[in-house]
Amino acid sequence: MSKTLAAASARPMILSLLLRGESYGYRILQDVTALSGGTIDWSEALLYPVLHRMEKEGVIRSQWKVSEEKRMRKYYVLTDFGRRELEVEKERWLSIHGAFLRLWTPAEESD
Amino acid sequence: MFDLEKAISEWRERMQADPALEPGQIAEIESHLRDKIDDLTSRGRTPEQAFEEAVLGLGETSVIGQQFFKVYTSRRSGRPSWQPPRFVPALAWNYVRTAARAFRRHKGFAVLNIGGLTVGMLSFLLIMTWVRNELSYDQFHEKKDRLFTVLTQDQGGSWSTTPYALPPALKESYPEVEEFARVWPWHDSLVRYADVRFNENAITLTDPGFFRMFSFPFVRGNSGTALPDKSSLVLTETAARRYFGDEDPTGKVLHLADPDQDFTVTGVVRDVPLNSSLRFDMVGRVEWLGEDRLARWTEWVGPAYVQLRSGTAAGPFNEKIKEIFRERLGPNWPPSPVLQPFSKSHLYAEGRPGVIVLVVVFSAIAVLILLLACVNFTNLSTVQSIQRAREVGMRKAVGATRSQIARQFLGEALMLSFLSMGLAVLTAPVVLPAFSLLAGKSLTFLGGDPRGLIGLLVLATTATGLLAGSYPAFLLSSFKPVETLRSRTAAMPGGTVFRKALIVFQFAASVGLLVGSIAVGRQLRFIRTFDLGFDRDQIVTLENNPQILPRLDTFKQQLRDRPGVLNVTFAGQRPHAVGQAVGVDWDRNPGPFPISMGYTVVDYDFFETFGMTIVRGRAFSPAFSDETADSCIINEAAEKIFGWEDPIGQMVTWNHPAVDPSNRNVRIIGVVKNFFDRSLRSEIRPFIFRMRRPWNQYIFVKVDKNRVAEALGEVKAAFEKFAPDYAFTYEFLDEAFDSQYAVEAQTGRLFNSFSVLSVFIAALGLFGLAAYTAERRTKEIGVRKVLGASISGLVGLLTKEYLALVGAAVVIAWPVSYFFMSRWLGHFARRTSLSPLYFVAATAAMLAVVLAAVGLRTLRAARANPADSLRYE
Repeated sequence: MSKTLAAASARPMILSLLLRGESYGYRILQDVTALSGGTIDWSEALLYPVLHRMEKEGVIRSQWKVSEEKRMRKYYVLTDFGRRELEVEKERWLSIHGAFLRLWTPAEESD
Repeated sequence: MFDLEKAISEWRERMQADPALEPGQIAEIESHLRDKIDDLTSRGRTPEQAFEEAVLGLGETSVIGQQFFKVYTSRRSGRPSWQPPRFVPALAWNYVRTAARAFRRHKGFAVLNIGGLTVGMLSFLLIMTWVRNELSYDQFHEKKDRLFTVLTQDQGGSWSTTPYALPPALKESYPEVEEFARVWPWHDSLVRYADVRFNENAITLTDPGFFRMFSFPFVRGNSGTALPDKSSLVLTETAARRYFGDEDPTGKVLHLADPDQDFTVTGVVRDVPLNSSLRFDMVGRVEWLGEDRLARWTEWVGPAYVQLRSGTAAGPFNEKIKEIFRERLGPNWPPSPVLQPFSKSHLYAEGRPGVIVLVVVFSAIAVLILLLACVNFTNLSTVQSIQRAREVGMRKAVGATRSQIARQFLGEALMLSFLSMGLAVLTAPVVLPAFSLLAGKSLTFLGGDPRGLIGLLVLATTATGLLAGSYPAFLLSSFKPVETLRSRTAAMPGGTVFRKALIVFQFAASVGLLVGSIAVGRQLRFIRTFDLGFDRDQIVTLENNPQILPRLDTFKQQLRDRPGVLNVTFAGQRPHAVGQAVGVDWDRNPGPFPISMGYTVVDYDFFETFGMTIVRGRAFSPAFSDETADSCIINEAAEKIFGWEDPIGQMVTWNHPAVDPSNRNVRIIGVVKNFFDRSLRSEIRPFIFRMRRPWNQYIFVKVDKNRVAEALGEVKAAFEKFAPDYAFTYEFLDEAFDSQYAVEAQTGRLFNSFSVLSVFIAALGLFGLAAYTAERRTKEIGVRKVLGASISGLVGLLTKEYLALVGAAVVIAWPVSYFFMSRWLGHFARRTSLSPLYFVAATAAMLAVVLAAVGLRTLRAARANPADSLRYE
């Protein structure tokens, strides 16, 4: 997958994952890999600057917590603004998706 | 045994070295690292394998830092302030910083260095502005590549007048000639429109082809309809405004007192650009010169121009028309017409190199001054290099290569060079008005299309930077790190041969320019005071006009008795600017053709007014019945050619084409002492005077030098009484005479200022060098002083070195300047000799500057208390 497409899809992907509940960097990475069957491969360390940027934008919020393994971990949750942003993103991606679908569905509509 | 916690803490320390990463960010990544290690070990990796794989998976840590920085910075580039800009090679930033630091610490050197360079560049800029102006003459005509000046050439040289029968004949017989224009720029007349009257003295008479050939854009009318007939007239905007204000001048009627006719304005053109060699306020038809003059092949009336069809080469065409005078006038007419590109007419007036010589000379001086500034820069940078020796040592010690060091200092020189050019460009508009005055031109900085000039400046600046910086760069990069770090003075460059050679060059150039400016100045003085064979002081010159012309004797009588007026006379030309010639024949003429002699017409009292000595016979006098009929007076040169033992009473034939053949035989009544009737660039020639009153274009009044103002008032009153329609303008003959040498005077002024400048630049550099030497020898001076040396002895010691250099410079400068100045003086038929005194004076001036620059600085060093300089030993 191209770098630019990966970068462009990172934001809606992270927002969607966080919609299921709070999460942290390493798990987000694993979830993405699992969801895409390994086709989406983000550069590990660069996830964190992206998360920080999104927090600065105000779509997510972070919190240091002690995990079950008794280690400090930084958890991210969606904000209300983030939810609304996700709706916008969703519409955008769905319209692109729909356009491709129509393009790639053969015949019928040609007349 | 692998210790995971130790490995992680080492990894953390590495991360902490990146200034872009905050501790919290590192902690977050660390937690990621630990998660991944746990994950990997649970899948069967050993802790060591898991750690390595996890760290590898994180990727380049510096990239992480950058990305984090970008998130939080407000800088658009996202570049942290501690990182060099992306497009600057890693160390360049450091170079700029150290250079700036070196500047701050040695302000004196920096000022001398940049100041000298700026002055040099400024001179270069000014000279180039002047050169550009000279080269821009006549380049604005669209068809300039096809326009040619018709010159006449014989074995004696070339001149720019031509018989006015020639251009139409050329067009008729040669299809190559598309257009022609005879341009007679010397008509003047009183011009009247209702009550508005002006004396116009820039009326050009020409053919209608004029406006089709030359690009003088029309504001009213067009080149096709301009000058349809003899009574049409084209004005420039300024001239039109004089008479009509803001009204439309087309169709209006102007009255010209000469030839007493009404003219209709058929067009208005924009004012003639300053860089045009064709100049006019009004343009009329050339037919006013008279049909017979236009049809004559024997009179070289005035300038003419032709336009050739595109694709016609002038060279072969010149061959074709070479014989045209011989065909028309018989085999005894040696001259040939020659077409010279019109665009060259300013630089090669009359077909001879004129202004072009100045352009070349001053371009050379500009380059010379730039070189002098380079030399200064090189010398100062070299001696200053000692301050940078440690820096070079350090750089080399930590691994800089020689070429890196050289590039660093070359870059520094380039930077300074561009800085100086920047300063020069900023100063130029400020000094340009003064320079324009000096050059006698109105110059505009970067006027017209400046691309060529800008390109030249960038080129010159780069060349200066590279030239000036190459030696210091070479020297600095050769320093041995060990020596520079061990002691301060070990690496100090001493009085190297190279640096001495540069100083000698600088001195030689300065002395040479000084000799030049002294010689030019002396020659100008020589010309001004030269005995021309007639007296040109206290003579008021007026232009004659049709209202005075018929009443010459009454005018003279009225004026002569007035207080302060000593004498009054008339003549066809001013005696220093005659120029014209006539064929003279006599029965004992050994050759087949009449001899060409200078001539003018004069009136009674001419020789008395001008204090010219009659050596035989007598002057023209009203006591004799009719002098205009057949009397003439010759000069000694003519007497020698005629060869009679006693020429008085002999008859000669004065073959002037405009005079009736019955009036051409004249009797010699007197011989006058030789005199110069042209500029001193030409020799004395045989000369013949006649009386012919209608041709008296000038009035001369000799006034009492103690009552000049009074006499001028009288002249004005008489003039206004006799010629109420004409404006009273006068000129003193000696001033008119001096103005013949305007080009020389301008050369002299420019020469003076640039030689002073070059000495100034040399002095700047010297001052810096002396400061350096004094500093370098501080201890030596201290020791000598302690041992009893006197101050004067010490100054002598330190200055001696420079005196030797002046001596060496003189050996070069004297012969070179002798060669060039004797060539320049060779242009004058009468010239001052190149006195050895000029060379001595120039050298003395240079010595004085050297002593002042070096002596002052060394005096300070010599007077310092030796205790101060020796204390630290």
